[in-house]
Amino acid sequence: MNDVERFYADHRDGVFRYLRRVVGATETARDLTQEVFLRVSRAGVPDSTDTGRRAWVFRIARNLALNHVRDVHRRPIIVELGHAAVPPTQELSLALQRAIDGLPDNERDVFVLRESAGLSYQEIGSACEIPLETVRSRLHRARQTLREELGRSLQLGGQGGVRCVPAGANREDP
Amino acid sequence: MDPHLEVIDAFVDGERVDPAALKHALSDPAGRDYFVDVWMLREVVQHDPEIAVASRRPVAPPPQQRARPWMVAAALVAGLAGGYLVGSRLPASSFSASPATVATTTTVRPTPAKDVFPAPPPTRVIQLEFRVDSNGSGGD
Repeated sequence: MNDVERFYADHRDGVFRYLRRVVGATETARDLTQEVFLRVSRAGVPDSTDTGRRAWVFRIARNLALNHVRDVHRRPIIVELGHAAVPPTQELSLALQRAIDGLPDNERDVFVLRESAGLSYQEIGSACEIPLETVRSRLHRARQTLREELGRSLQLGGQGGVRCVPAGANREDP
Repeated sequence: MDPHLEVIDAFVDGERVDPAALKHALSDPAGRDYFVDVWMLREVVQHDPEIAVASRRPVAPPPQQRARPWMVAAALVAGLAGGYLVGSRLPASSFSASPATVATTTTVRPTPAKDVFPAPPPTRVIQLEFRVDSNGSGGD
């Protein structure tokens, strides 16, 4: 297994989860994940620390995601008439996605990099090219906003109990 | 922005925090509520069924790195230089003064038919006379 393959195996899931949260659509996130690692394979994995490499790959992912979001906002929005039935288990997910989408860009970025991708404050600062204090304050504001937005839904989501899980984990109930 | 709550954020995120500041933040009921809410938020973010299902389907790995143009050019230059060096260091005797033997190809052209099969002498001779028709009735 060469450097690029190892790097791909280590970061594929985190990059995909981050992109999925930012762009919303699974297939688009999959395509963008491909694009991220295509760029990685072209450029070669940099000779750096783990933190530096992680920040580097998420900087690529972030740039692609931001470009994509910008392009999508330029296109006309197609509104589907009629409401598809949403299973109750997905209601909270949809509410969360809507709340995340409603965050200011810079706060959403930091929040998703932390919670979906599991980046440390230092890695987020490096990926977004902002100081640590800015990371802290944006993350805190994002959490406060989401807490207010989700409110009761969050309480309902916690009915099954809450447990200590690391950020960025791909968790499923047993 | 509440600095007490930011300490809780940092603690939940696995960053180093001042224990005294954390104790102080958690001594406040609002701080404890926030602490639990941050965990619940994380639980919700990570329990997105669609992302979990999508993550199970692996993203295809990127295609193998293609040979870069400069590598191809370098290989070409190395090949040419190697060929030149080998050629220039070979003794002159190894080169034959006479041109290399070339396989000759003999082309057999077909002999004209008259030489092989002589035409038989004529048995009847028809003589054609050229005559102008003054009435102008001919030729239609």
